[in-house]
Amino acid sequence: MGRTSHRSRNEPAPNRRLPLKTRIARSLPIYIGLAPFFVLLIVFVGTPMVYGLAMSFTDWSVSSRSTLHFVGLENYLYILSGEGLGSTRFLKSLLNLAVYVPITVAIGLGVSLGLALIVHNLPRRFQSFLRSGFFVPTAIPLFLCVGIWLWLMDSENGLVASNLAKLGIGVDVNWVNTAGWAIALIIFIDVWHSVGFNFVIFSTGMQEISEDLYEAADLDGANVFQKMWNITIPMMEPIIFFVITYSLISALQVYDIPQILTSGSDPNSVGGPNQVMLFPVMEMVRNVRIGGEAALGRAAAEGVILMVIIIAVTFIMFKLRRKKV
Amino acid sequence: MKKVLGAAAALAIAAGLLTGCSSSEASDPNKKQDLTLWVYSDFTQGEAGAVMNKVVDEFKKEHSNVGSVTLVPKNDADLLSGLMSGVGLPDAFSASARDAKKYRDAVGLLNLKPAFDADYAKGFYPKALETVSQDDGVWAVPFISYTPVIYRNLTVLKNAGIDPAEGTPTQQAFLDQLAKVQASGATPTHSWTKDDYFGPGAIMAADADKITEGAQDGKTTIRPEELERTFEVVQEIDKFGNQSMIYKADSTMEAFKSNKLGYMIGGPWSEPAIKQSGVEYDFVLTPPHEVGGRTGGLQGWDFFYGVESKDETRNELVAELLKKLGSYDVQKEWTLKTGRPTLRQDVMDDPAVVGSSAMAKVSSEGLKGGMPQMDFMKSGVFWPTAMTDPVAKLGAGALTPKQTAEEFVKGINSLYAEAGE
Repeated sequence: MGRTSHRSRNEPAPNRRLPLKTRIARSLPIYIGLAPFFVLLIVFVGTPMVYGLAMSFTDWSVSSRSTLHFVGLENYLYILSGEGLGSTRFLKSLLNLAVYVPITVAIGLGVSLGLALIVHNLPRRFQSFLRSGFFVPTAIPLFLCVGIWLWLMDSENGLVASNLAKLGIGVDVNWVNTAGWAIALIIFIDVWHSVGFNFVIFSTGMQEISEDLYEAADLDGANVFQKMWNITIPMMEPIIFFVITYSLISALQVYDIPQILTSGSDPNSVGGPNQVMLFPVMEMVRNVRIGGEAALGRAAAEGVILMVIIIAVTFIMFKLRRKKV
Repeated sequence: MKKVLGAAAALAIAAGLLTGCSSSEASDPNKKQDLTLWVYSDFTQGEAGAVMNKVVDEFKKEHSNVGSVTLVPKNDADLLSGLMSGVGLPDAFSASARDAKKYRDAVGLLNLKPAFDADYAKGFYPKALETVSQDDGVWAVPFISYTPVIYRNLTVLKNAGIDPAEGTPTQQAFLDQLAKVQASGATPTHSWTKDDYFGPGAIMAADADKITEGAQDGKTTIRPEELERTFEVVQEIDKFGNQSMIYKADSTMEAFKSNKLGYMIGGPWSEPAIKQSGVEYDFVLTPPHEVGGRTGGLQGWDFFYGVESKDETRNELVAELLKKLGSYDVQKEWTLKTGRPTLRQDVMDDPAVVGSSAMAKVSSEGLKGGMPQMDFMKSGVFWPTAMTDPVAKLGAGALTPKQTAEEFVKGINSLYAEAGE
């Protein structure tokens, strides 16, 4: 079948057939309209990224602002070498991250999705009340959340820790400073704080699912679990994908909770004894604070490595989704 | 015509920029100067805030060309990142002496030497004065200090049959008292190994005379055998420590306030909360090895620094303001009102100050025998921090005191290597 053109005489001709001046005059308002976006993107996203990347190849330190030297891949080789304090700390932080991210994302997702599914099947009069209730921890300032959980997890008198101890979990354990338990504590706090946010997103998504589908399932005699499995979850797939991706990116950049738990006036104490609670962003901040030879260049290199990890994880997520679709 | 105007404008801008880049010069001395001072957030609150505001008010009255002096609360981390960016610097700031070398390297610090006449300077502790005086300049005003103390719950001590008047004359006496508290059923103390350098560092400072602090060829001159005794003592104390309690935790403070904990290490900053609780308490310096031995723990220092502004009038005003803050009268008032020790020996030895509060008395004693946390201003390596990891392993039984000392020395060397010193 041959191609046919159905353009009427009154339709404007495509830009490429018009003189350059006319084409510019036509497109100019569009580019002017888009310009603020691109200017902001370049100023606030592009420039810091390029600046950070460039600095990661220098010996940038607090004292070398005016005399920077290009050091090639030296900062990257150092922090990945496993030799020296900065390197061992950074590698330990990556190890902690590898444990923390999958667990916190899986638990956070499971709890928030589970709660949303339960609430979705409750009578409407309970739904809005519970939605507000579960969102409360998200609205509490993080330092307060950490304070609350420090009390709850105090092994002497903490409500949660002492009850867990009765079950044989964490008996006489200092949750803040003990390897393994420290990461568990961050996961508790993070899930408690973020579950409300994910829950609201899931809940809103579930409200958008057409009632017709559930009515049709009712006619077919489907029970609650069959409706959840065959209607709710498949229809929620784009939202679940968003929440997983967002949670992964947030978890990879974990900083505030462990920083509040372990920070003091001494930058080297950040992450606790033997770095039980050290994560990459905290190590970057330590480098900035110690400010020694090439410390800022190393911090920038650590930032670039973390950025590459985040981009890789996001890319894999999109690939997996595309395959599924 | 447009081109001519454009060229003229460009020349005017270039001339303006060149003028801005010129070397130090004096602005109109009658022009009102607005000064900004970054201070620790607690310097703007309560009694400390009242003292600072009074100093600012007096300074403004004394200098007709000062329009305003704004106190901006900032902590050490804020300060470092703000100062490193090199823009929007204040005229002066208060900060830890631990970061003094970084500030000297990163910021054009104002040389305060002209303000430090002999009469003014002689009142400071000689070590503090020596620290801020480098390369024929004076780069900061020594301001406050702290000495770690051991808080004692007098109710717990009484129940254990300990007479508080005995004090803790030696480390062995301290261990004996801990054993008595344990026998009485109370918790003697918190963990001394599971937090950071603070507790073990205070014990280490009792051996300050034997510790060869310094660096040579990028390595510490401290030898492991100089530290073995420290970690033996720490291990012994830690046997009486509740391992789920760390000194920094609020829950440890609560245990102390509710008469469940006998001894707790802390600083002067811990006292207001203890006092407010109404618990019966006192405090002593960390004990020496032998009677009359060295005591006072690791001392933390804070300084006031000025920023070189390339404007002589402004520089003079900043130097005057800092001089006032470091003066005998202001530091005495500071200590009397806040109970926090200063780095002026004439203030800390003043009978009125020593008699004003128990903390001032203990701090006055501690400042004589304490060990500075590091080689302030000359080095950026805060070496005691390297003990945090090995001490935690000591507490867990993974290292012996000898191995802990060896690991600590290795850790110090890692810090020197990282700092490139």
